[in-house]
Amino acid sequence: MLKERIRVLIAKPGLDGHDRGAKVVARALRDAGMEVIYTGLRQTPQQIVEAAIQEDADVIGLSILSGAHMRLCEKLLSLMKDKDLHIPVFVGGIIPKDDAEKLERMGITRVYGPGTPLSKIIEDIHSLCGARR
Amino acid sequence: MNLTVQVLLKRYRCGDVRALAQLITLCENGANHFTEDFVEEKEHHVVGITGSPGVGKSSIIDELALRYVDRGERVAVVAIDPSSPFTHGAFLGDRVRMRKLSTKGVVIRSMASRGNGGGLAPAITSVLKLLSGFGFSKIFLETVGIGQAEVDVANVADTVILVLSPGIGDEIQLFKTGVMEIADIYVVNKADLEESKKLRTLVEQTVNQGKTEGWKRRIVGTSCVEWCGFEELEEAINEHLQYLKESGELLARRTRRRKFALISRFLRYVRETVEKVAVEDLTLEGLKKAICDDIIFGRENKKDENIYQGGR
Repeated sequence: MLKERIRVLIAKPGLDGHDRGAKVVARALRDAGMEVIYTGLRQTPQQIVEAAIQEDADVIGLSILSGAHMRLCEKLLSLMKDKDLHIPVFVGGIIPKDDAEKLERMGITRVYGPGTPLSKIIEDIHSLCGARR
Repeated sequence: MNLTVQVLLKRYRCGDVRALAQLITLCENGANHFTEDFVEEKEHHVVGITGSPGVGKSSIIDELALRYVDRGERVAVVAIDPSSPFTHGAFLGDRVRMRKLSTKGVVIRSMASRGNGGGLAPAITSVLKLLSGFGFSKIFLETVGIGQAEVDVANVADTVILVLSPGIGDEIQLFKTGVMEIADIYVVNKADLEESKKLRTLVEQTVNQGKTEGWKRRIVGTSCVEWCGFEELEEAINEHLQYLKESGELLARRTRRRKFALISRFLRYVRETVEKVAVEDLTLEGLKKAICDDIIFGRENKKDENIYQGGR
């Protein structure tokens, strides 16, 4: 039980109040043997970065359905840079294809749209964090 | 001690929260030996909060911790949730209720219980030492949601708060030993509900029965809907700390914590050894032999390590 575990921070930045998706992903990662820290709704990018540092998270997963993904992700990534925090960031939600590409160029590790198999997310996290943990 | 730990400790001593968090992770993963010799405990007060799932532990901490921040104390929160016995994964959801704290510079660390059945996590004593050494004067420790027998918190915290809420049954439940006995302060939460008042009366009638000396247990009613009762709760905590200091009980509790740390470490070692070595011979003799072998091997490994460190 004292083996190293992948720690994932799941957060919902911004103002939309629909967190079913975040919870489904959180449960799937939990069942895949990860320790999932769930922060709940309406988090600011500052709060998310602070939480990721305090929790020593290996990955951050964001759920955004509000349409404000460009602004929120830009802010989050710049705060992470300020704090010298270099861990993968996943985004799930309703993201137009063009924006998804922009986000990935900006530094978001991966964007997951509706219908992404949970096994794909788990696999990606394992392959990205496998070396760390 | 390897290089990573040395670097982390240096940053930790400079007040780097990230280094603190990374050292906590090391402790969680079983590499906690460095806390014994290289981390120095400072003056602090550990307030343990325990109670059944959903009674309001996290919400109470959210309000309570904020009050101490406003008084100028450096506050940290450790919140434990259970690990899965099947997948070893965990859903750590205590931050959801601690919304006020996340904007106030309070360090919150969620920990999984990782197979520990006493309501805490295996690394808890090392983590508390790290937090106190970092300079946190008030440390709130939230246990997993518990039942009747998870009493480890009483071995670790300086002040134990048991949170109750209506719906736990009649007074017979209050007579039971175990969790019902360990608290210094009893909080009857959800005071906005009518049944909460009845429960509070019952608790008042029972918890100090037959108690003639020492600390007189306090009973406080709170509500996280109407946000009432917290001033009284804060007062009770402060009084208890005063009592601990004046009576000398604080020292006794710290000794108890160190003893608990030692026993837990030994038990963990035995468990790991049984799982690792003594699979074929599941007798006490087999275990003894395995431990002896392990100690001899351990010494040899240590020799290697010394050579390695000397050569660097």
